[in-house]
Amino acid sequence: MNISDAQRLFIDQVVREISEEWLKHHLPIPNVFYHYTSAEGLLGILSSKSIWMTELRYMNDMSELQYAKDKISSRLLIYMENRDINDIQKEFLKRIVSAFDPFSSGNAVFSASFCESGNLLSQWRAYRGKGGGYAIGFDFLHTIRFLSKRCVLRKVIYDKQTQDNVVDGVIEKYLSAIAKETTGRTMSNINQDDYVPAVCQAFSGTAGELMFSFKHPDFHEEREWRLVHSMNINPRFNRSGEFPAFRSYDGNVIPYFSVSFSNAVEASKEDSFGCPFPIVKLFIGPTINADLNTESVKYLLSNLNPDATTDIHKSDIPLRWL
Amino acid sequence: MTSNTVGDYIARIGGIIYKNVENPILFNETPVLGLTRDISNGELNVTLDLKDENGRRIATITNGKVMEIDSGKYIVIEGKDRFAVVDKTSGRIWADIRKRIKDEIYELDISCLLIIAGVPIILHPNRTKIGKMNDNEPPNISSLTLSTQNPGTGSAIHLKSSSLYIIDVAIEHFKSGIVIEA
Repeated sequence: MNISDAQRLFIDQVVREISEEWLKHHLPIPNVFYHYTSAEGLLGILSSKSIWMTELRYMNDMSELQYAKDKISSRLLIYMENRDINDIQKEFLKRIVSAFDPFSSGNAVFSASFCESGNLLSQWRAYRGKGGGYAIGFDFLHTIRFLSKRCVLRKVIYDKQTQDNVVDGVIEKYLSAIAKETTGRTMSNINQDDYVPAVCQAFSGTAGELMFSFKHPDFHEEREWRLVHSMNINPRFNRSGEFPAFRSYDGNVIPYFSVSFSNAVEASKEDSFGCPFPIVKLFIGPTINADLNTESVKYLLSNLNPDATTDIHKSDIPLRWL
Repeated sequence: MTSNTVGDYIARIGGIIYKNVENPILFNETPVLGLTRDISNGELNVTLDLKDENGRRIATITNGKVMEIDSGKYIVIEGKDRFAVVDKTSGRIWADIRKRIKDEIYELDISCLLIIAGVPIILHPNRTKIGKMNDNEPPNISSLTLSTQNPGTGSAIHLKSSSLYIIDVAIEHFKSGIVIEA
């Protein structure tokens, strides 16, 4: 892009400041993250020492990204109607309102869902039809550094007001950056360089982060966190990139990545490394024969590390088959 | 404001549960870590010195806070009511402290690597090993509660120039938990 080094540094600084502010929403991270799954899922995760991260658009609720996209669009439209902004800021808003979605150009987010609570009725209900469920409690404070792919943990934001405030904060930060950088310039000479497109591209990256962290308020009970790996999966643009695997589900072809925590398991065996076994707790759902399965799950875990001391709990929620 | 009289407590140290044990681990009659209680909020905390294999100071943890750290080599990683001292290069976790724990039987969880006079005292998050490491041998003691009258006297485990691996163990009411004589 045809922008000066000073302009590039300025944009990078803005992105960094926004990122620092954004990360505050995701700290501190809880000590245990629960992944609800079926018996088949539990066996798959423990035997492969890996978690499947599904492309976000193909997860259970396919409208999630659309909700976040609509939220950002609606806030951008409000700012476009603001008479106090100058022509260059207006041009920026006009360009991004229809083109901020980074996922339309091959960028993809692969995500695995976790809950802060390991014993949620709504989750057990979801797995009842599959014979019952398990909640695997991961300690990610250290494990995340040992994962086979670079991942981040993001807390899902359900509160509408918080979502609005976050998006507004981001838009205002970019608008004020544009105002500062383009003081004394007019639209005609702005169009001669790529400054506005560069800011639009930076905004698109920020919007991508917001999009996979916003969810409709009705889902708030889930207290969801996402383990996220983002990349460009379009081979036309990313020729040397790693490409996802695919699986089928209900007639759909779904891209996913498998992220391994095997290195964390190995590190936990090393006495002097100080790394805990990655699975610190495990809840057995209410519709499962808990006593029998406590023993089999213990065997399974000790197969990964004979010194694993995972706390295994039986859910006390009175949910039965009938 | 802190007090060295911690009163009734349960802490997990090196994966072992200590209940009302005045000195959880002693090395040549000196406690390898100290427990304190914050008088203002009742919080149980730990005080300990972290040193590397060569005796160089890594960090000092005083009443549950990192007061000094060799920030060129080590970093503090924070979680919820938790912090860990980690080697920037190797990723080795020298200490991992969780406090204000509400959903467990213990209120404080301490793991750390200590090397005193050349003797490794491995207070791993899941197990305690003393005088040996990475031997891949089964534990000497496991799935056992060592208990005595309250208040107790004496020590639960006394080691004289020997090694030990314990896991899934609880020690209750003894004056001292593990006494190591080098």
